[in-house]
Amino acid sequence: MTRYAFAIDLDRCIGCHACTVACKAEHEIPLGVWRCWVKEVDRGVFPDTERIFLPVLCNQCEDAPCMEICPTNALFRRADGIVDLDGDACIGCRSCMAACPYHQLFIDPNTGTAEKCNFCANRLENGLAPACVVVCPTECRVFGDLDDEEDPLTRLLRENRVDVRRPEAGTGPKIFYLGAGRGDLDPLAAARAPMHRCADAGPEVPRGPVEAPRDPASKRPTVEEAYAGATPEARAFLEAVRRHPAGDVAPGRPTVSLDVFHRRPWGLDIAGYLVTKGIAAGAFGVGCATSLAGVLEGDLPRAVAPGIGLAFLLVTSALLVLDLERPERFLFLLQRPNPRSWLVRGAWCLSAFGALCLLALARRFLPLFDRIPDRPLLVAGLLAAAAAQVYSFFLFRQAARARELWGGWLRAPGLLIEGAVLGLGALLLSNLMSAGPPEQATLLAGFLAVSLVGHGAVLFLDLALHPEPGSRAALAASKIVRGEFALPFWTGGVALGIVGPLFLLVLGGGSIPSHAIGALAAMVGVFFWSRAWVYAGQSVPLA
Amino acid sequence: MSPSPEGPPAWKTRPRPWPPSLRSHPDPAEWDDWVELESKAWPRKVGKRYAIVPSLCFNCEAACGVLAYVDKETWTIRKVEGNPLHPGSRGRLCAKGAATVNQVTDPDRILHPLRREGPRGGGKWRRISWDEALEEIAGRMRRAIVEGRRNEIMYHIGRPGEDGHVMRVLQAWGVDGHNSHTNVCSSSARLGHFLWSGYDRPSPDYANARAILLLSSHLETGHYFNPHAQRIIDGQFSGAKLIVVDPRLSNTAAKADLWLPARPGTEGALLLSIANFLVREGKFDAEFVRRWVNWEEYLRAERKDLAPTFESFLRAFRDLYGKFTFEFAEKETGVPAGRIEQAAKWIAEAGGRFSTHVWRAASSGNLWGWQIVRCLYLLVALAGSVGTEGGVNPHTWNKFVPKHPNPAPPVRDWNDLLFPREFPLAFFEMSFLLPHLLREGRGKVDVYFTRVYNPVWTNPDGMSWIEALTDESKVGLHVCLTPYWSETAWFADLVLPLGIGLERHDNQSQETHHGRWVGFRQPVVRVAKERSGLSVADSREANPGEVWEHNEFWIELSWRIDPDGSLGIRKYFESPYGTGSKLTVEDYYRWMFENGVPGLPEAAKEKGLAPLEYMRRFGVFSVEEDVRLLHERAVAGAEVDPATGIARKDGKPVGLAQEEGVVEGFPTPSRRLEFWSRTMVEWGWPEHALPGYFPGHVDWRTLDRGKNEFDLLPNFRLPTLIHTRSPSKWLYELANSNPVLIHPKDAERLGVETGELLRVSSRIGHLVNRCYVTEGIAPGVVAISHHLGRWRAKEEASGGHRWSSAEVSIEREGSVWRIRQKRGVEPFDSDDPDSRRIWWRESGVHQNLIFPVQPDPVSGMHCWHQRVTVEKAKPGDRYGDIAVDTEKSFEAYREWMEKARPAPGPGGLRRPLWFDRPNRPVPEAYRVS
Repeated sequence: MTRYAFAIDLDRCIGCHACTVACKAEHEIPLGVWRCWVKEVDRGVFPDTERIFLPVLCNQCEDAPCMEICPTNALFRRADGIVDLDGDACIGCRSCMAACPYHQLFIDPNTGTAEKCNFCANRLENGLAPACVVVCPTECRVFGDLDDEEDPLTRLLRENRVDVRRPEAGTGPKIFYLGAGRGDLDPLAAARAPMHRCADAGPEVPRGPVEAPRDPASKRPTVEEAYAGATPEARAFLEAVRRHPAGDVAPGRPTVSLDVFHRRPWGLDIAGYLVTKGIAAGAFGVGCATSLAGVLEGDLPRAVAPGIGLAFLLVTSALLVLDLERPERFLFLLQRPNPRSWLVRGAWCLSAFGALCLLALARRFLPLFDRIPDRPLLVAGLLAAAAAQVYSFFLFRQAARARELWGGWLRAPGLLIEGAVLGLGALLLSNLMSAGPPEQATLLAGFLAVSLVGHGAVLFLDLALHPEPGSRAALAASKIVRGEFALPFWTGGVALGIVGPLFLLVLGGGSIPSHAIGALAAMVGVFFWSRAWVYAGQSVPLA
Repeated sequence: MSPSPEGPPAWKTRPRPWPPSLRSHPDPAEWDDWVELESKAWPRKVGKRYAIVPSLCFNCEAACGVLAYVDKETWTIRKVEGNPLHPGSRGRLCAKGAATVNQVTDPDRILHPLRREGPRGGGKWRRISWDEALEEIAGRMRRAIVEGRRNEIMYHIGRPGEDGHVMRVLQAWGVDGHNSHTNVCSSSARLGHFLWSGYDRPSPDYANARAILLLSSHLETGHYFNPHAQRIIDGQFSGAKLIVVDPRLSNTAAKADLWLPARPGTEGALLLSIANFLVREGKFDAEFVRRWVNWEEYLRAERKDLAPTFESFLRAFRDLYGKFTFEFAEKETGVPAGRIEQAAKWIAEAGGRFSTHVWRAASSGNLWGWQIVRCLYLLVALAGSVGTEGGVNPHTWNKFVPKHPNPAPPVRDWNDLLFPREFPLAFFEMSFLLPHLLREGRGKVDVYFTRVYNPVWTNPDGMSWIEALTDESKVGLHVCLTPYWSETAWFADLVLPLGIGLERHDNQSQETHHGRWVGFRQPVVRVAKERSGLSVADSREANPGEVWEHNEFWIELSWRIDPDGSLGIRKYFESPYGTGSKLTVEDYYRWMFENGVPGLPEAAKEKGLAPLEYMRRFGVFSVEEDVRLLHERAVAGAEVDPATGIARKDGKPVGLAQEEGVVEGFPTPSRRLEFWSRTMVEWGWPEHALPGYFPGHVDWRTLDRGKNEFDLLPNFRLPTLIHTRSPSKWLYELANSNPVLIHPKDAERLGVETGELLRVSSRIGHLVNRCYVTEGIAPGVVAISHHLGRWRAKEEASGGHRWSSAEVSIEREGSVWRIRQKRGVEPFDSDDPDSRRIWWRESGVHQNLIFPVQPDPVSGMHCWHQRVTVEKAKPGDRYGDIAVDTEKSFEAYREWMEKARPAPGPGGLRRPLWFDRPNRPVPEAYRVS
């Protein structure tokens, strides 16, 4: 067998970026995305200042998270160990980007499909070494076969101490670094400044105002004043840099002096999907559960709940399909499924969920379906709703070697409780709109209040207690609690989403406005929380 | 499998770092028809056919070998890789080389000849034919020549990228009109080496060195970055200690075993303290110094009190340099004495395996920068590492310039606009003073060619250039020969698209290592077409649009200047094979490779090829490897002057009598290495007769910290940009801003953080730029990269390429000019979808505009360092603002001219006869008439 790998001797790398450009040339890589690049970090205090150059490329992991999560088998392993990508099979779901612990995948803007380094497999099959290896002026890149005892690479690895990027991710990387000092490979070891030594830090990172203040007496502008018009992320980023003058720009603190940027794979669509899916699953689930328990009766649990389930399932599906870079390929999910991918399993869960919603509606409205036994259908419906809701936990967890925040097991009950909040909220609103019985509203409001307490408790446990202190997950959690996502989280997710509705539901005297506003606020609150959780999970640098 | 068995065994190399089952490049036997598995279609296996054509890179002066992959269906260039047969670059490239393909397909390229309409600089252009352009230029040149105004024709070149062709053209025209960029680049480095050895630059053998001392940044830039970087790292991995002197943490300094950030201009003190240590401790090559340094001449001239013995010299040496202790050096340079001592010890241990280089950096930054170079070379002389394994060769030993066909005799005139009286020792033309010399009425330029040269942007005081270029009484016809728009092309009358590196023929050779090679640059699409049996009449048929190659342009122009041969010009542009037929590039290089390169015809024959075919196929020929110790080569049949020991043939010095007989020595007046320079004494600089420590013009002791005065280093470069001519999206993606690098303590004092705006003021104006706070710069020093800050005065492409330039408004009030950015870099529509994906937004700030000219009175080099005041931006200041007063810059010019000590020198000479110069005229022209 052949298992291709690289050793990169950092002592030989001079930061010339020939590899970056040779790669762009070989594969005609567009602007703003990279298969390989070189990160530069300055550290130390003058005149004991150092600069390290860190060339990075795909690790072709032995246990590749990108392959596992890819729903359509577009990512596949070649006989020589290289993880290759078939753009023709890619639907552009960006889950590989979310799952890669090294920022090594991106969407090619020309094709709308994922792209990654494949060690120049096209060259290897033509008998040529990879472009970045051949071009390297100082031969800092050694390419070879791990399974060949005689290979110079194998000897090099035997005789030297080597390191890999982010070993804790446990993916079995095949890019080995020689001469890496402590922290050189750690994406968190170096601070980030609003610009690089000779380049913009990225399209979203503002360098500062273009014009000096006209009023000479004015004090230093606040971040908001200085960066009016910049995206909230960009402002938050800058604020983070500024807030820790003693930490981030302290003398000698390693600072990234040149790097590329990476777009966040999952954005608002995914936060939105968590909410619409929660409404669907929650409403139907609550309908089934309350029917089983016999606490609710009539059309609300029997017709409205599955109706909401079906409608929001369609909304969810539309969101998911439109979120694809290649939406016209969404059927690939079913045509060429990767059964290990929770995207595929999730699609199955959602299909089953949809079928049960239909059955429930059919049983309610079509006499033909009367013979379906009631309780088993309700139990099945409840299970399908739970599956449709909780599979997201496994999906995000499949990306958790990259985005550690998403690995917390409390998200499983958390998602179920959020489903309850959303479902109860939706049913409560429906009840109000259809002028349903007030006692039903009181009951739903009570359940909602209990769910909100549970929701709050899980959030607290999840963010404050669960992540191992000092871990990357804890860093991401801290960004929600007191970092760049704190404002929307505390105002939207907690004040608006939990405290406010609880207040209204418990002390609102059962009035219609208090129920309506409480339910709506609770649902919007889940969206704010989901957004914070999705974004914060992706906010910890991987490279 | 590499190097290829099909190619010439060009160099010795260790195994390349991949399994033997793989190769770096296809074998030359496959270059006619190579099937590549198209990466864009992968993993589908789609084969695409390419002709692989070797050429030379033109994105710096190193002339690395490249292979162009020419698509045989579309005749476009798919990519550029290194040529594995090239002994200098050994198949590898830097980012700039690999990005060449961007330049070919740049959407803002100039594809057709253009003529100005309306006022110069007005920005209105009309497309014309090459015929019209040629007729206009030729007619005007013919008039100048017929009317005895030959010297009103000037060819101003930035990067030549070739050896000898254009010089031959100028000689054929009889025009002393070669102007260059060297005085804003490397003159002081050259003069320092030249005063010592008669050679103007070093060729270090880094790979075999034990200590490498760089006052340069050869791991990222300079002559010759890629080939040198390979060998520096090879050397380091074979045990050499790398010592780098630079006030800025360059990438090179970052790789150093020892970084010595001496205060700018104090490098001489550091170097002399090492020299003092070597002699004091007896750790120098006494035998080499005794044999090759002109110590005796020095003693006889300046130490008549001492007996002319070597021991006396050592005593005199101690008298001269005894005060240069490490402690003294620490006081001057700010570098801890212990570190300097460590460097000295490593150098002592290296013995003859001691390599050095200095290029630009300290030498081009400081007044008396050439003295820093002399101090550096003093270490080479003491180490005896001249021409040794691991030492330093003179560059000419490692550079090979073939004979050109049918050369014209040297010109007979002397053009005072190039070498004015004030600068008899100027190492190259006083190019950057041209606007000021014109303003003083010292002459006129009737036909002014600019080529790969952007003086408005590159030179100091660009606003004075704009004033000169827009004055038609000073510059008659400005012909800009350029592939791309530039700030200078904007002020031309004719903008003519000549090809980039992959679109022209050249012979080029550089001293990349201890071998000698000659490379062949080719218009690769043309060659690919010809290989496939398609006929191409001239390069325009193969290049994009109507882009031409310069050799064919010169031939055609010369014929039109002298259509009937009556001016005696045409004959030099006739085929060396035919009778009177027009010279073709094919015949030109055929003759050169048949007659001008020893060993090439034989090597070609062995492969069954004609010499030109060999060069077309392989792109390079290795003339010699392991060239060393040529100064010790025996010379037979020369007459020895018993008084001096100098041996002559036909009156020309050719060697030096040593104990064992006559050997070549060095091309200096004494044929030795000149520690003491008689020339300097005779030409009015007795205080500079010896290598000495002369702090630069921005001496740190004179900087008023209370007034926020700093020493600005504007002359450093980035490894990924190509001066002012890199319309490469991949390169600008890597480097797109040039903030003011400033030490954290200085930033704190000014109250600024990274990203905030600073105003940087010189004596003639100011600019507004962002700051970047870094521990990688010495306190009291600020630095701005040479590369960025391109601008254009018009929204669309004409005037600048949009990957990198800001659109500006230019306003003038009397002598005060103001530039303000209207918009930064923005996405734009073009055939390349990437132009909509530009993600950087700022262009950098053009700094050279606010620098007055500062000619070194000896070397003529522009002394780049600037005394500046740095403060927080003032109310209303905007990023990219620039203001300049050209009256103040003229004042500064006059002040610096006062420092000069004009010719004539001894014998009524304009310039010492042993001082070469480009386009060297007959010896009589050296005399003041």
